[in-house]
Amino acid sequence: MKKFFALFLVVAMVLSFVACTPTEEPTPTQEPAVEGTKEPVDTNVTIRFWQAGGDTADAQATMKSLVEAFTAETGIKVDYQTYPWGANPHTSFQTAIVGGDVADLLIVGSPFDYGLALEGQVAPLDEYISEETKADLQGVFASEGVFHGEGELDGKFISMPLYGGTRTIYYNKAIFDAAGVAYPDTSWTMEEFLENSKKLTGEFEIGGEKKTVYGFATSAKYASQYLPFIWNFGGEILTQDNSAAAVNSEEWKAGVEYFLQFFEEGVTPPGSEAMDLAEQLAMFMDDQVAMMCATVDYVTEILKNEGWDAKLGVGAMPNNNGIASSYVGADVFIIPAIAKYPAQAAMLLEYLLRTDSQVKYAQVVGFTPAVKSAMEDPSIANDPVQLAFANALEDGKYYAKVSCSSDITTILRENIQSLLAGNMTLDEYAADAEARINQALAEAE
Amino acid sequence: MIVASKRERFGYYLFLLPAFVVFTTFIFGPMLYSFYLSLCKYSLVTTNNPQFVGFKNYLDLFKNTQFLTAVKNTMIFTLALVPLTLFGGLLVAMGINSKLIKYKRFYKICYYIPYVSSMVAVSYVFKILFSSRPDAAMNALLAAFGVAPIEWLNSADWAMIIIILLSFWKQLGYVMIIYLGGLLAIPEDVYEAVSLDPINGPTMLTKITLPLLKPTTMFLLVTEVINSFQIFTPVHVMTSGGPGMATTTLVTLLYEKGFKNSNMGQASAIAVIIFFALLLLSIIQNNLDKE
Repeated sequence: MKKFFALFLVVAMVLSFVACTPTEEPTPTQEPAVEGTKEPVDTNVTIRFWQAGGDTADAQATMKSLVEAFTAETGIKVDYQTYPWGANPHTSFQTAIVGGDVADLLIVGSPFDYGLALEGQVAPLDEYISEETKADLQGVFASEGVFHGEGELDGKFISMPLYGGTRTIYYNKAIFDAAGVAYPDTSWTMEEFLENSKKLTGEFEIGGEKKTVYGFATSAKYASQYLPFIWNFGGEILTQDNSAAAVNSEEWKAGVEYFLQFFEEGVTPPGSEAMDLAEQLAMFMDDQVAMMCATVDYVTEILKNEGWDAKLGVGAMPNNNGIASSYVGADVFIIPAIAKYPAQAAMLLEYLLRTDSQVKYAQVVGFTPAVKSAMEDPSIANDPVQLAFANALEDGKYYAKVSCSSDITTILRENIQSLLAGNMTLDEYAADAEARINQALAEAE
Repeated sequence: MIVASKRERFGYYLFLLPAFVVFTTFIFGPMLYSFYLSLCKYSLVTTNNPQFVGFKNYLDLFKNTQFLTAVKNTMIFTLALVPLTLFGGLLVAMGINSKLIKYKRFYKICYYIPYVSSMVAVSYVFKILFSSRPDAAMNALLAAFGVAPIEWLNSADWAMIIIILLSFWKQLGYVMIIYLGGLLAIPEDVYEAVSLDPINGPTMLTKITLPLLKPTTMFLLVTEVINSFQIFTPVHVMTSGGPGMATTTLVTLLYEKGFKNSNMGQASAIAVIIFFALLLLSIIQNNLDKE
């Protein structure tokens, strides 16, 4: 029995050893080098590609087909996985990075890329990505992917957008008609926007049914909802060098005061202090909301429903003395610093930023392409929705990029909700937010 | 006294070894590491080693209004939920234990089902029921009685009440089952003996039933306080700690600090504070039980 046990142990050990020994790499197939690199790229490999979000049926299927086409063209196999936003993909990616085993190409929500860059966790893209691709990026992205900070990454591209993710105003034409309000054009001012929101609030006959309508659905839960108005007044979250809070300024307070009017005037649905945008979208679809501000994928979802082709209008963000802003928050590609196959990952990145890939993704998923060349495709160039969002992108502005961005978002949300609940005055709100943001910045140092 | 030989004792330890290894690796080790991390500056996105900063994380926390509000909210939640659940659970258990009630199994199942349901799922259901939309379920019900719509989860006044209500509904079945066990363990002889005296129902409850249920109550008190301190899922799903800081609790703050802001040092400091607060409460409750 003892002999049998010993024999079993030896066999198990040998098998374990064999299993743990790395298999011999297949003979590399040499391909021309990626632009900017000297070494030829081994295409006989399998790279891993993880996407935060992108888990809706259309988006996932489109990305899969693009990845398969990439494999057919280059021979590089891709193990593609999506991580739904609800499952906190950033935490999974962080853990994988700390564990030293992460995918070669990641899609993350901005400004998470910036946080990783501050920790030196991303590879600079300049040595892999061609100048043509960089030059083809739409307006705001040409500069926003560049890292500014200490260390080797300063001045280098750390991320590239998957699409042009910005927000603009869209509206229900039937409610505008019922209220006798003219459709907005690109030159409307913030005063006109507020006045129209008031006129669009009330009881209206829509499609033969009496409806209680709110002029503009917005929510204090999301920074993307109020920041464009504050930016239009010249307000900023941080000072130019990102070293201190700038929210206790007159410009910031003027912007917040403007935003509060939508609540005070009752033009936004009750509970909008903390309402989900998805819930407001449901109200919009039910002819209970005249205008909303959200990303193009919301519009795509609306247009899938019968009758909305004629009913939906996409406008522009209102301006304050000619200054208009839209909130940009795109999902971006990054290559982790510890990626096993960075050159091959960069090839996939370039492939997904190619004109035809971007057009295909935009056509199916609805997002505005990240590259200018894709905007020239007739299917995009003749689409009023895509054009409206592309115009908004020209006034696009990113959220504050510091390591404690998430902390700042929470502080701003908590304080504006407390202000709306009447727990503090505007001055107290601004002073408290300033002190808390400065504390967060100090703690993050 | 059983005297075991050296060989036998070695055998006993060998049997304990697997459990000890698992406990050390997955519970005791991480706990100690968490104590250490609470004294360090450590970001989740960095592969650098944690930097020792002493009690800075604790000092920062006690200056942080978010943390102080989270402590206050957790206390409010615990002080409201625990007595409510214990009282409600006892009441239901006594009702089901009564000889006058038929279909006991049916009632037991009805009360116990919420306890075994997924907290995430029921939180979403409550979120839909208590939506602030005028045409949402609860508001439509109120409208039928001529009551104006309420902003429920989007109102700083109501949000915590809804979370307490959900937790009460979910936890009631568990408390009921434990109390039912306690009631069934009281020997019938005691009640038979007491029935010889002219004693009324309330006196029987306060002088006989409740004192005999004291060990059950103490057990429930400890476990329910621990559970309440760890409230996370309904807050995360329904309000994300808002509106404002109205529903921010210690564990939601811990999650935010650790996994959203990558500040593992401060998150560990919150975990250590919760640990010591619960340890202290458990010791106090244990001493009260002995008295």
